[in-house]
Amino acid sequence: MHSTIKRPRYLSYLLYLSLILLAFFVLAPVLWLLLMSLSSPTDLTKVPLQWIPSQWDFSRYALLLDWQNGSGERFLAAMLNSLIIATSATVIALFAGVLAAYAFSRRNASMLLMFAFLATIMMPPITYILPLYSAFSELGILNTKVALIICYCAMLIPFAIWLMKTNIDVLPQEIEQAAMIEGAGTFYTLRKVVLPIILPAIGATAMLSFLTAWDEFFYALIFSSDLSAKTIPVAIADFSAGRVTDFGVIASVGVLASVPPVLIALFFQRFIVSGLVGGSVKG
Amino acid sequence: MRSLIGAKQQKWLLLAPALTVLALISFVPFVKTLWLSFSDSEISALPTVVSFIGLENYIYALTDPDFISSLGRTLYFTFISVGAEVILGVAVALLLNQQFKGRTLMRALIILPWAIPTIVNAVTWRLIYNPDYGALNSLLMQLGIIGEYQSWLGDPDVAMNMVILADVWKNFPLVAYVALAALQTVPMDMLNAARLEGANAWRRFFKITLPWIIGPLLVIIVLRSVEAFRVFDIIYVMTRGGPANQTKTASFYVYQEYFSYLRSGSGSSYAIIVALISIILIYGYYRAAKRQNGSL
Amino acid sequence: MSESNNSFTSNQVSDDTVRVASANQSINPNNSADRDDAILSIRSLCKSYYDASILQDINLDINSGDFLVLVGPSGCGKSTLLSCIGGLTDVTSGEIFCKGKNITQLDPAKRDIAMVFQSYALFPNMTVSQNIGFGLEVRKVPAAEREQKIQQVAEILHLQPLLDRTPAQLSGGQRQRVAMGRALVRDPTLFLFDEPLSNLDAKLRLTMRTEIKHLHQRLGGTMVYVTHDQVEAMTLASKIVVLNQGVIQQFGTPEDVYKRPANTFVAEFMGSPAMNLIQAKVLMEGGDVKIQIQREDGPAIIFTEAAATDALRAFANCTVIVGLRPESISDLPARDPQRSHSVKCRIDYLEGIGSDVYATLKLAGTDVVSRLHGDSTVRAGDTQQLHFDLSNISYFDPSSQLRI
Ligand SMILES: Nc1ncnc2c1ncn2[C@@H]1O[C@H](COP(=O)(O)OP(=O)(O)OP(=O)(O)O)[C@@H](O)[C@H]1O
Ligand SMILES: [Mg+2]
Repeated sequence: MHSTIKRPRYLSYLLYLSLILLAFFVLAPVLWLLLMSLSSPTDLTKVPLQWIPSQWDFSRYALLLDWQNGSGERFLAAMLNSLIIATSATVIALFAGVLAAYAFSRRNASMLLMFAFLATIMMPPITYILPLYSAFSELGILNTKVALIICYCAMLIPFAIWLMKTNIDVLPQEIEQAAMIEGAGTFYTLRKVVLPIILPAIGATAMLSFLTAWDEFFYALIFSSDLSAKTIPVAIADFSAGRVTDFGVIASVGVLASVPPVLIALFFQRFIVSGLVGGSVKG
Repeated sequence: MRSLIGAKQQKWLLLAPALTVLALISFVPFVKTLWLSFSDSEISALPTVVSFIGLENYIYALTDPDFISSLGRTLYFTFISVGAEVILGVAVALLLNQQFKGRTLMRALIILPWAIPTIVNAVTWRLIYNPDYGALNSLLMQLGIIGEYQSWLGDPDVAMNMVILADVWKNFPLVAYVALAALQTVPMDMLNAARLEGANAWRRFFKITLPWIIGPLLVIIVLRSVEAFRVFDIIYVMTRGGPANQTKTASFYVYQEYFSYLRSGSGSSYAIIVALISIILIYGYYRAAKRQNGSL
Repeated sequence: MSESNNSFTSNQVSDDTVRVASANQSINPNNSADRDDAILSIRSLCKSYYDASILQDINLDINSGDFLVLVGPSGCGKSTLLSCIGGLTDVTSGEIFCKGKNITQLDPAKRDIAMVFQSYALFPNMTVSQNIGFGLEVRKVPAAEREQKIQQVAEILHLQPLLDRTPAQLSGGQRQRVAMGRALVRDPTLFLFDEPLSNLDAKLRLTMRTEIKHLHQRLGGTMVYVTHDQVEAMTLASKIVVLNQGVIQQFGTPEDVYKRPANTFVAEFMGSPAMNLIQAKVLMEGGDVKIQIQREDGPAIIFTEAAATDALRAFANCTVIVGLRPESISDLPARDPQRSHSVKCRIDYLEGIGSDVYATLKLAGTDVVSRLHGDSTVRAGDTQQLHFDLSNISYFDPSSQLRI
């Protein structure tokens, strides 16, 4: 991986030039979103633009973080819904996922079934949406968090199984056998031995699952209609499509909605990247 | 693997929760959609008589030029956007595999687009493309590249490509990370040997590096294609299928058939056709993953 | 161990020798009736993976207090047999009884068996004391009692200062002791050891071997111990099972297996350097049985087998394989002059290991290793007077490879 041969000078320049371009490409949209959220409406409607705000304007954040006004209520309710839905779905998916992963890894469950599981999340959701819609409507759970939690579970479980299976596969089996010889049953062994060992993998899976659920739009768009279940992606789509004319407000919503996933991604970078890459790069 | 006493019963017990959820939320609805696609069902508040009409919906769908062209657009979106992501991703991976100061920081930085929620990404780019006050117009004007502001998403000829750019920005990091991880497994000895043989950088890349990382790349390419093929959210926010239907992809088409025209029967047949194409892609994924991992 | 005092007559030998376990009947090397009933009995056990047969018709009885060592070359099925006993693998056919109860289908957790794994299989997320106490915790033993037992075991194994560490913070030998502690603390019916010392360096292996031996003598307990190291097998075992390609070759005491190998496989496998197997001819002269060994560099060696059995007599004028251990061909006179034969032999080459010198010569076309005294001054090419000690000679049938 480490090149021992010294680079010619022109290549060094080329390298750093490419890096600067890359950094610009990656950062510019994010920085611009941030700037928009802090610029006054007049700066944002100049032609050509006033890139650096003439004065910093924090009013949108104040507005959005205030339950008392309409926009704030819509935004905060959506954030809360997203938090509740993504967290619940993640917890349930991890529970079901760990058990199933163990079955695939250690109890000879068929790989074809594993693939069928994976195939369900690769199918376009439009193939499921209508029957789900009628079923939820008959059950009276349209426009509730429960409906979304259930859907997100189905979306997260196969992925969680796959990630945890690859992690259980590489554990030495003797450790579990030792636990069983010592008298522990399967579930005791799972809880006291296997789970603590794969805790880092569970963490990575949990974060990836949470981010996936946080990001989901299609089911949320169709199954939620008001503050009681609307998630943040739907709220953002509403803000950007609706009566709001100030780009700054839309940008602020975007910034705030990105804070949780960006923080998770930056802090747990190693975990997450290994989780993302794990399925495809492997001996 | 050693088989174990009582493993059979335990296997199903362990699988039960996952199986239940997936059966109810995925398998059963799929079968029901399949059934609906052979019927003249419509979404309505009143109970209606639904009758079986055989392949009529499918014949209609396959002779509907709007639907066929939406499929074509979806394939275009999939092909161009995944292609660009792969080229950009591999290039970035090669770059980040070099030694330079701040490499760790750069590697961390490119997770940013991936972490931004899809909808926020769509909204951001919509604002950037804004015909009246957008950043792209302003930047290009100040650089002297364009003479007057353009309506990027309003022009049927370029709208799709602009959506693709937004999608590439969000998704290339994934490819880059996979490629980078694969690059780190390329044996340095092999590269050095080739260097001593006098192979130039291009040759080394195409003869050694690329064959070495192609397995993992293939997996991620197919996975991204499967995802790109069902694209909906970014379209919904950026263009709603416009202008002149030029960005109306298959998922969006089916969505409208269901929820704007309330035709569940014919909508289902569209959905099943989309699903069938997805299944081909999924099978491709299966082959790529199997090739890479031995077992699935 | 080699120069045993008791000179067995060949009659006793053939009575006590245990033949290859081919028939369905179980074999017990000590067929004394006053023994307890077997702790573990294995009946016609077979195990195959798909069409590969790994274990074939295994029959074994292990008595209380036995230290049974399973020995055999790599891949012969030792670990598989242990897994079957522990319940970690299901058997293809046959039965396993523990204290008379059929446990073939019983869950491993309910077998009351403890196992020490080759890789130790310690729980990496637990401390040493949690590792040792795991089995007690599973069985809901009260904390105070658990603590006391852990302390006891820690004392026996000198683990007290390590109790709060995790396995990652231990050396190989310490991990090995923790693994033993985890097995010892429960006082199970049966201990299984799967090559517990193979991951240790040579010196530590020796120390631990002695320690295990002492533990067994002190604490009793019934052990099944797998190794592919025949020295380990000889020193530890009260009984040895020699396994090859999934078939039991011999089941007997270490002395049986060493002095009276049931077939040429066992003869070659046990002992280092291996037993010499030399082609010879059985001649009858009057009532005497004479054994004739040809050699290229001198006249044939002919000696009288004073204790010939009828079975050997039946090979009159036929070829047999003579088995002689290196220590039975020496420059020192044999203990029993009656059973000794002296010949001058040309030494081809020498290998000194300090205490002894191994000298190689050629008999009947094969290289034969003899053991000379460490002070021997003989050089390659020299001719040396060698004494063949016939008291522990073995004969094998060249066609079946079985002991005669
Ligand atoms: N799960 C399995 N599937 C198929 N064959 C197996 C399996 N486990 C073991 N075997 C085969 O069974 C045979 C015996 O294996 P086993 O592990 O019992 O050998 P062993 O005597 O313990 O060897 P070693 O001394 O190397 O540990 C080997 O040939 C091995 O290839
Ligand atoms: Mg083994």
